[in-house]
Amino acid sequence: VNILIAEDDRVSALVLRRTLERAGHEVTVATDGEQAWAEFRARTYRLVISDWMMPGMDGLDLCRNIRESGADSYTYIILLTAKAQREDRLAALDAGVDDFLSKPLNQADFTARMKTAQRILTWEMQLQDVNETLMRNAMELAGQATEIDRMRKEAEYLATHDTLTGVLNRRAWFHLATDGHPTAIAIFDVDHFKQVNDEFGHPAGDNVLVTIASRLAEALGPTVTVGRLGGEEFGALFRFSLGTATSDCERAVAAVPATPIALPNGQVITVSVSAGLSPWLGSLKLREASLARTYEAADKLLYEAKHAGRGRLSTGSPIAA
Amino acid sequence: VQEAASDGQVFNISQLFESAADDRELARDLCAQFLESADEAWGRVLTAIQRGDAPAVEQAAHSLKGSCWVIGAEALGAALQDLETAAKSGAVAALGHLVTAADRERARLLPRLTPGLHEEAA
Repeated sequence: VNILIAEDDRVSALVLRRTLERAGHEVTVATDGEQAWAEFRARTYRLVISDWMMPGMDGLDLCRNIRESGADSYTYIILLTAKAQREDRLAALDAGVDDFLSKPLNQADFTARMKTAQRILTWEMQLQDVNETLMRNAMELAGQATEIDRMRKEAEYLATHDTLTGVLNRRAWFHLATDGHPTAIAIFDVDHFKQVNDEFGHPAGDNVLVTIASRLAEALGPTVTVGRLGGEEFGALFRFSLGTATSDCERAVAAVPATPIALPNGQVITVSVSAGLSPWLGSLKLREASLARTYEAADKLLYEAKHAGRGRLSTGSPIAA
Repeated sequence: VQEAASDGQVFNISQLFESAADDRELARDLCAQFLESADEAWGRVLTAIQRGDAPAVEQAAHSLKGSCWVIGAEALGAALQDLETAAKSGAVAALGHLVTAADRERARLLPRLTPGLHEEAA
């Protein structure tokens, strides 16, 4: 154990130092309270043996300072004293003293007190080890929880988003269409997409899909939910009036071919989309049946747009659908 | 007038060996340390008395008393205890007879430690 002795009487200090060193301890001797306090602050001591009466800072003040220092580990303090009065001992205990040793030093008494001190310090060190292990485990668990949460979010994202374009996938989009109370739905289809794939290859086709998804999402704005329904087909869910949905769709249909798309091979092409927009058809309660009806109407309108020359929007009324 | 202390009270070698845990080398070193520091410690007692500084007398007497108890200098230790107690009450001016008594015990002790120290401790 690393031991600090605070003792102004050199003969008493010598007895303590030699006895403790013989027992295998590392000992530092300070000749007054101030020196002991400076030594304690400079280095961690698990055990302090201090005289009560010393010039300047006495043993009780030294003890109070140690207790108020907020050291990480516990310091066991033994006070050397000839004072046997009950109130003196109570004052020392109140200052934070753990045990007492009478002067002159009785070896048997000293050995017994040291055993007690070492037993308590050993427990304290074991407790500290357990605490450190618990802290490490807690931090590890917290790290694992963070990782699990990250993986859960990633899995959730992968389950609901199209990995190529980043918009909602078909399943998530239809789920929102059923439960999200849209006022209208639109279906967008890339015109002549097969030719893009055939002529420029599938990587170029993927590049076109990513660009179009991005342009649709940007043109339609954050209140409209865009999803990839499959192949080159995208869906949009609207929450406002049909008039607003119509102007949003017109803007999106116009935005797609407005800027040519650069392909990975350096070529540049212009691609258009056709769209069919239908207001919500049917009951608010029978959601799935109504969705099927609305989707079918939008799909019909999309093909009307295709037949009318592509690169345009076709809208319809419930009657027309 | 105080009664003179017995030889055993002047230097109780059993106490010295008790303090040293029967380690002869340590016993010798303790006596040597006492001889090395006792004059200076006694000087601090006298200086404090001359200054009329009661707390300093109490502190200096207390410190030297601790050394006495360790080596078994019981008579000098008792005389210093009287000085310490008197100084604690603040009566520095009335310490003359206690200083004389302590000095007398000191004079009796030192020859016991000096020439025959090694033989006696051995």
